[in-house]
Amino acid sequence: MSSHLSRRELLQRAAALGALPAWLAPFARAAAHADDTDPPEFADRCVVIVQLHGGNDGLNTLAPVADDLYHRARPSLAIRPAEGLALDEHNRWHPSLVHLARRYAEGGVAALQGVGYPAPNLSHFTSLDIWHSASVTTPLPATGWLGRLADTTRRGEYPPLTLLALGHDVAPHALRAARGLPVAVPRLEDAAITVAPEGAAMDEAEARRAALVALERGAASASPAAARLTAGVRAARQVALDLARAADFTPRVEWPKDNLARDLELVVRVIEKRLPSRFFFVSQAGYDTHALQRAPHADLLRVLDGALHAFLSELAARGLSDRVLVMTMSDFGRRVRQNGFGDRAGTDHGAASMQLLLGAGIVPGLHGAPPDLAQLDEHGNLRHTVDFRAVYAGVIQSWLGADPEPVLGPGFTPHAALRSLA
Amino acid sequence: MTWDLFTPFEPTASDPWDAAKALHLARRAGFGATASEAEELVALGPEGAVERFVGYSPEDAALEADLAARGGALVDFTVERGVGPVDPLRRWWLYRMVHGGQPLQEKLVLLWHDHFACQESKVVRQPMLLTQNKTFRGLGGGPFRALLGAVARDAAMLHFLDNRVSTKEAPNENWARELLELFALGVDQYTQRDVVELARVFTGWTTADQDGYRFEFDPALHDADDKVFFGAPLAGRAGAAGIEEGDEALDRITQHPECARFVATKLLGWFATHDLPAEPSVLPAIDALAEVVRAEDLDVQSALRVLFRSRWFYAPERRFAMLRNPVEYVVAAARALGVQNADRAGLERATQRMGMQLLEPPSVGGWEHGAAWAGPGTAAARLEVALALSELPHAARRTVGRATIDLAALGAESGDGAAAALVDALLARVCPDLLPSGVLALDSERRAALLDFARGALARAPRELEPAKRRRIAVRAVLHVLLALPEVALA
Repeated sequence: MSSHLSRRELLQRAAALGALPAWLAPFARAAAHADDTDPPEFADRCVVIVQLHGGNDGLNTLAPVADDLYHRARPSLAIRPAEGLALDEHNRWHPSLVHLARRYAEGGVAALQGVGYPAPNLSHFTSLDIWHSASVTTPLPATGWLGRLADTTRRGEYPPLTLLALGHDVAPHALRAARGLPVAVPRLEDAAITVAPEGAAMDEAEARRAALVALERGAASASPAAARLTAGVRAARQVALDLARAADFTPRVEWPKDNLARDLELVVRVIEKRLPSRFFFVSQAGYDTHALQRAPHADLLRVLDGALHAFLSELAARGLSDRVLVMTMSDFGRRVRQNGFGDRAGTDHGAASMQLLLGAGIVPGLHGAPPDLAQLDEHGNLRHTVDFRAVYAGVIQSWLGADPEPVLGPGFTPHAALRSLA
Repeated sequence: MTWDLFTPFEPTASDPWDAAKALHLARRAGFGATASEAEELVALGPEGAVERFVGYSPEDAALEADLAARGGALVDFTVERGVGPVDPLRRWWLYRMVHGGQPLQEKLVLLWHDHFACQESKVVRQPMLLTQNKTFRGLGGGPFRALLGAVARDAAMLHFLDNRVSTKEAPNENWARELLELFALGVDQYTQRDVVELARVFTGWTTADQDGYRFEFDPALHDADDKVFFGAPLAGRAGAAGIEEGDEALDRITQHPECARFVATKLLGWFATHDLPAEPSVLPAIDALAEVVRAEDLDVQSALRVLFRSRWFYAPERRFAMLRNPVEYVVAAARALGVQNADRAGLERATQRMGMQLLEPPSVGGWEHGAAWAGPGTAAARLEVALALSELPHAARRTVGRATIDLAALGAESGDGAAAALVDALLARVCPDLLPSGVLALDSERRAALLDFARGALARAPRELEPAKRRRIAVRAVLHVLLALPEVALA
């Protein structure tokens, strides 16, 4: 073995060998993780949130093509019956959703309609805060719903990777917890920490690592901000070690080459290596289609369709399907009436919209009342018929066997789109 | 008057104007200071020191002369959309932040980029974003109304929030909503009706894209009917006069009582505290600065002068209470190291790696700050950036024109080469507060660890090399661990 290895190479080799060198021992810990208060049958279950950032146009995702009002409101933007993909006699899928439409027909998808919350104010930021914090009353809690879920189901200082956002620089609100530290990793290679220049000798690398660690101690006392920073650095070292194990991976299915696919592929790696992550968050940006909507929206949904298909196929190829539930979310739906003419048409901010559930634990099919385009709210938006927190309650109780009340407050019955195992 | 909160700090024998306060000011109003720069600020007294930052003129004459000596603009738009190694605008901008002599101007340009956040991925053409950057440079310290008026006419913004395609037949709400919610007042200060009416007011505010992407008001696209905005009639105007409606609406927005509070909150969040807006302890400060902002007719530099002079600003609990965002961290480090030719140092990739790619904010809401930058992802990136900066080439004859650091000069300040002298010389550059005389003086354990490391670095350097070169290797190693110190990421 050459003595001129970077720390990154060392970690990769160590991971490949399934062993860590002795000098890394202070950071190493048992890979097996106790699953705290989870009932045994729920112990391995994960939730993957796919955020369609910007406000996905639900009416053009799951299009009510049999509704005249839909075509009248969107003369150049509506999905025409002939181009949409088969769903049922009333609705069609957007033509980009080739795999989703097939999976739906095979009983692998639950689609919820009319999901929202009371009194939306059409702001991206307010709405995302509401979806992430699972609260509609101000001031909104600083923690997110998945963060609180981790707080209430895990004991003590749970491992930093428990709440994991991929493709993100900063952990989203949904993952913020009172006790745990959510982790955001832009790409797998970004998690590694290089402690010495390329080509540095082993003793140099070791001296630098030791100095960095020794100097981090005591820095926390400067201020609360300093304490946060040092906790972040400590967590980064643990994350680097954990994720180094995910480097060794050969996909078994064809993956598209885009960011969403890259992030979802990393979710599979993490699950497959049995790292302690349970709550995953990935995002796809670009859904704020105020103008010139048609082509970009088709591209977005094509990317979504391809990435979700590869993800579910990869899980199936590895026998991991029964561990993973996928849920989409978005800021809001969009205005029923299109904005602008012809190719320039787009849609302004809306309210209630549709949500997809895929993977294990779902009751396939269409859920919720169909959108009522004759009874819009005063701004021309769809009214909600399903509170999104009922869907969350379904995820928490039916899928994860936990109590929704400490996370959501009282009064939310688990939605029937999630299979109740009780 | 809640102004009392911002009574000026007056030095006394027991509470003097000292290096700790000068360094605090420099971290907040600029990108930090070295020990010798702090000494200069101390000598100026509190008023003079604050003026050194606040009293900048929109045109940085020294920097322009420097740029002229380098053969004109750094910006080469022959590659229209800068990606990868060719990234002219980000480099131009970072060059200014590192080499410019008006750090508060740069902090404000960054603030307004974060505030009026446009994404290159949607705007696409960097020349529009260059124009926008120059607007922030010129107007960012002045009255907020003038800045807002310029942003409303900014081609990049008109592209980014789609107003260029907003017409009387199909008004687009994107710009109108964000103008009220994110740019000037805050959510809950207006109704959806106001958004709809304001969208109509701004119909016809578009761009002439065939003609250098400049602003254009097109009366043919403008809705000339009467509107009602903030509950009062706003007379519709046809023809070229239609543009007056937008300016009248901007007047109403900036005269709205909440606008001063909104600007004050923004300035406090950028320069004073992350505990906004929910933390009850900062509410009096928001109230007080809102009054200042109102009294100063929304003039940014005037309000900041009051803030930076105030006793409140120098309270011990304010010190090191903020986290440098990635751009601040990278620029502060590059300035501390005296990086030459900073446009070629890969700094744009460093800030991106840490989660803050200039010209690509995550959304129109800009970046999240504070605790967001303390996460493990940013921490891992920061350690890597610290290493990369310490590994920049040493300035020598053969490196002319490249991004370099002068390791000989950095290390020479330490005199005879003992480990303690080397460590202190570098601390004086990177984080003077950690010196034995500083307010954050390293405790004995950490100082011993640092000295041990420096001694080891001097000893480990290959013996066959000449002494100066061995010393440079040790300087790099010490710089690396110093830049990685959590304290360096604090403001």
